[in-house]
Amino acid sequence: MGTSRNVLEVIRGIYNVDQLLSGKEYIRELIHRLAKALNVKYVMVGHAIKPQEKSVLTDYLYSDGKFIDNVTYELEGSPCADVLCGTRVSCYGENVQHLFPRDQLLKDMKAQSYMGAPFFSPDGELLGLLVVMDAQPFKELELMTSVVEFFAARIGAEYRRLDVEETLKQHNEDLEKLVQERTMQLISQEKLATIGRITLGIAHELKNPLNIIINASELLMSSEIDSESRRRALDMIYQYGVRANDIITNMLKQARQDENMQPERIDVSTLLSHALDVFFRSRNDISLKSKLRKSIHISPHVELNLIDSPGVERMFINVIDNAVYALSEKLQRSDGGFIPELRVDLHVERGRCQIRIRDNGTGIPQTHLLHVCDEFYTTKPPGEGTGLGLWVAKQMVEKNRGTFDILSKENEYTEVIIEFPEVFLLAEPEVTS
Amino acid sequence: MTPSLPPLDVVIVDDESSVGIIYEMRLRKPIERGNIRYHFFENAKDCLDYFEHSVRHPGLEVLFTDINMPEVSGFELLAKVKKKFPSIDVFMMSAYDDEASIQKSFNLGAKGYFTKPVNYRDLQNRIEADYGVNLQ
Repeated sequence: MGTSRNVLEVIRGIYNVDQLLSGKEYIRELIHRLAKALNVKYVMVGHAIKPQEKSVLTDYLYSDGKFIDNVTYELEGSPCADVLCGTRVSCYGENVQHLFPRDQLLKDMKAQSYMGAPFFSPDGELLGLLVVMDAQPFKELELMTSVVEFFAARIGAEYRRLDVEETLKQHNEDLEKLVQERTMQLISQEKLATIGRITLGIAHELKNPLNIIINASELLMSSEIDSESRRRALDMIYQYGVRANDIITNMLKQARQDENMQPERIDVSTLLSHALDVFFRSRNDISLKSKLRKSIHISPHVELNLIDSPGVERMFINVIDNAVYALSEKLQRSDGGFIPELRVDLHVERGRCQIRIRDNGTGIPQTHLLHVCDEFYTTKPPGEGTGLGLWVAKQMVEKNRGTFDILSKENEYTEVIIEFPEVFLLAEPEVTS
Repeated sequence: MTPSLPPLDVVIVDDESSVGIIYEMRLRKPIERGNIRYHFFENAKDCLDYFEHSVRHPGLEVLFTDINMPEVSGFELLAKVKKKFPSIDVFMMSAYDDEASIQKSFNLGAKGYFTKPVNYRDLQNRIEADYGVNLQ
């Protein structure tokens, strides 16, 4: 190699990197080629550690033909301090250890020669530095200066690109997290809306035992009462007190936030009956209630292993609520000839529990039918629905290894078919593990 | 004692069986005296069956029904009774205390409306006033 080497030729030789490489891989390839073309033992690229900027952390450290572990070193007493202060190349073609006697790294590397160039962001902020060093004095100082300066700028550009990429990635992650958070908020809003809807039903449910407790107490307070009646009245007060307590316990279970629920063996027949009961107690629209024909066929005592049974009950209430909504809409539009019908059916078929909830209401147009269980899909005006009701319902069923299907014909009917696997029949002996 | 007076048929319909037991205990004396014939049903269907298969005594039959019951509601029962057996007086007994429920009951032909918990004294006064029967 002689001084006759052309700078542009050298730069082109180094620069001729595989187009597919980018980012860190690209920088590594450049460093490798730079070391080879300039015939130097060390190349490093690093940045001053913020906020004090008193030391440098290498991001790439190339020694003797390979990349080695990165290091940190003090800026004070190091030639790099000058690099980071200036805007151009700093060069010590020989005797660099004598010039910087306190620089331990130079000693460890047995460096004779040193050349460093800073690189900057477009607004002039220092991003880092490129350094080449050798155990021999440098020979082609002028050529090396141009090459190092050029590639410092090129590596700087790559640093900025990486930085932008990282920022973008961070923004995306933040956005995704935000969407997830908002979705969780909406899901709990949807849950609260359902609980709100059934609170009225629960209040009515609670009034029943309380009324009986009040009536039985009044009976006890009246003067003429025989001992048999007294015993029965006291018994009633106790029984209905227990029932009122159960209702409250159930309500509290609904409001509970429980993330790690274990499967429990649940009488799904009772769960569905209770959902229907609570729902209809909560409804006070007399015009629909007095016209509505309910046909309820629930096989008793069908037991399933369910995760989050309060959630499953809310799912039933949501589906029933949709059915009644569709009936109510159709009734309002009709001229009186329409008889709203709700069919609820629960039975066991081939070891699976099938639940069908069918209404003869407005139905779902074919174009919507494919999407009604999608997240955030709603046809209601803004603010009236979260678009999560059926999505949550379907998730709840699927969480319990069930299937959730909807059949519908516009203006004729909608039928929701829910199937759960693994029914326990009462005859089956208790499985103990 | 007024043994010459014909008995009053009191029919109560409520899906809570305890309601039936409480009124039976309350009305024990007039029942024993023969002033009241007491009937209790847990659903509207059984009540309608009873009316279908019994003889009418106009002015001497009174039905008290709950509104919120599974399958057939108290409103439906009221409407059916007033249509098929108009001589039977119907009173509603419900936890609903809203104007719409009360208005609807009267529109369908109810004679009165008691909100739950029903104050027995009020009920007693009403029966005694309307049917001249002594409930003491």
